[in-house]
Amino acid sequence: MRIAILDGRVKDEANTVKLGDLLSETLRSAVVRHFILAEMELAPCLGCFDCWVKTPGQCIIPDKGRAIAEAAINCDVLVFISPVTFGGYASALKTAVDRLIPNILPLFVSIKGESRHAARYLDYPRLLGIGISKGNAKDDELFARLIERNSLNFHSRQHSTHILPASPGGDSPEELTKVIRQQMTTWGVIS
Amino acid sequence: MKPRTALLLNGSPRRENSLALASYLSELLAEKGLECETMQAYRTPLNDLLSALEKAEVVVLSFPLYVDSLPGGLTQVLEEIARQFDGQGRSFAAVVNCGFPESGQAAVSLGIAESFARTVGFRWLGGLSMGAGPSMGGRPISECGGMLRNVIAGLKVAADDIVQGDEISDEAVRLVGMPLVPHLVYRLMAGQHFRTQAKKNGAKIYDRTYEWKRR
Ligand SMILES: Cc1cc2nc3c(=O)[nH]c(=O)nc-3n(C[C@H](O)[C@H](O)[C@H](O)COP(=O)(O)O)c2cc1C
Repeated sequence: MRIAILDGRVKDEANTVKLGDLLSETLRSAVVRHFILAEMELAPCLGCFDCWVKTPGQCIIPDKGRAIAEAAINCDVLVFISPVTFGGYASALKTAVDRLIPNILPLFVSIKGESRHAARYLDYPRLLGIGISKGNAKDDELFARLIERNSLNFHSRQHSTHILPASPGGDSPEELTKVIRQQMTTWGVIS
Repeated sequence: MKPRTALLLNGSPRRENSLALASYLSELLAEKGLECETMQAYRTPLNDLLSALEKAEVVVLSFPLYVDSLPGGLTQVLEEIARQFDGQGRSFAAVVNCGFPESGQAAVSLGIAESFARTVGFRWLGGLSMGAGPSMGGRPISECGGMLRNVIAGLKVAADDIVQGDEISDEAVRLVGMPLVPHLVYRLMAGQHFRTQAKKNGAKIYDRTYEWKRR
């Protein structure tokens, strides 16, 4: 069982840093990779499409964006965590997500009446989106729609969104571990 | 209130399709007497952006759809603007172009653009989305030919709305969102375009770079 977490929150000792360790301790059989994106300063996607036509499957930017794309395909559960930002992802998470397009193909297919890029890999992880609310219900709903659309474009087997309140401790490692565990149980990937 | 000054922001890291749309809108607005400035959201010092925003009575953000929303680099700039700028008394509109032929795929991104505008205190004028954006090939819109006739007609309606200080009309949204060619034709052409490029580079598009590590 592999879990990859792309965490777009600001780095702080209490809430961000401890999540990876707590989750590993709680789910003993799981290999957890926790990327604290705010401290990684990934270069934003250049829009060059070299990951499709020059070095297919890999971004030309030689930074940690490559390791993130690799982790995001080699896992059973992919988790996006972010403060709900204008109804979408905070820039730290969004920059990482843009760098995931090497994992799909440039070719187009039609799925459920809409165009998509064809899958590069045989199967893709489940996508769990966790938004830390800023108290705007319309934005929270938009966030859930974005997760759903991303799940379609990244061929996620299943997806789900959880919105957590911004109250102090609302996104503590304990709270997040609980949410991730619950969802994995619902999906039947852990018992 | 009718605006006198406009700022057109290119929200793409590239100077291609989003810029073509911004430049064309700028021409239309200038023809109607607005004083227009076009700027890159990427790689422009924040202070220059802030002073350009200060001068503009209407701001139009043109961006490419990146994974169903705004590009990460652009989002970072918008977060910074939201921290430092008050849009009170100014209006904001957005134009998105996407690589898929269905313009409706950009709906969430326009919701995000609207939420940004409202957070900053701008008056939200509305958003336009264009499918099959790469058909422009980075060329100026006026050189794209008949394929873009509906998009052009829609942009003209939108420019008139903006000049009047009105919200962008449904007619503009409808025209800009119309398919350029049948979706199936576009999917084949666009796929072929990438195949040809890969072939030129001697690259194999199906490579499964990371598969060796799978469970
Ligand atoms: C990282 C990345 C993600 C993209 N995601 C989408 C997408 O989710 N849906 C879509 O229709 N097009 C998507 N596109 C295609 C662009 O929106 C399209 O190529 C656009 O015309 C680029 O505009 P520009 O020339 O101004 O950069 C994506 C492109 C890139 C580079």
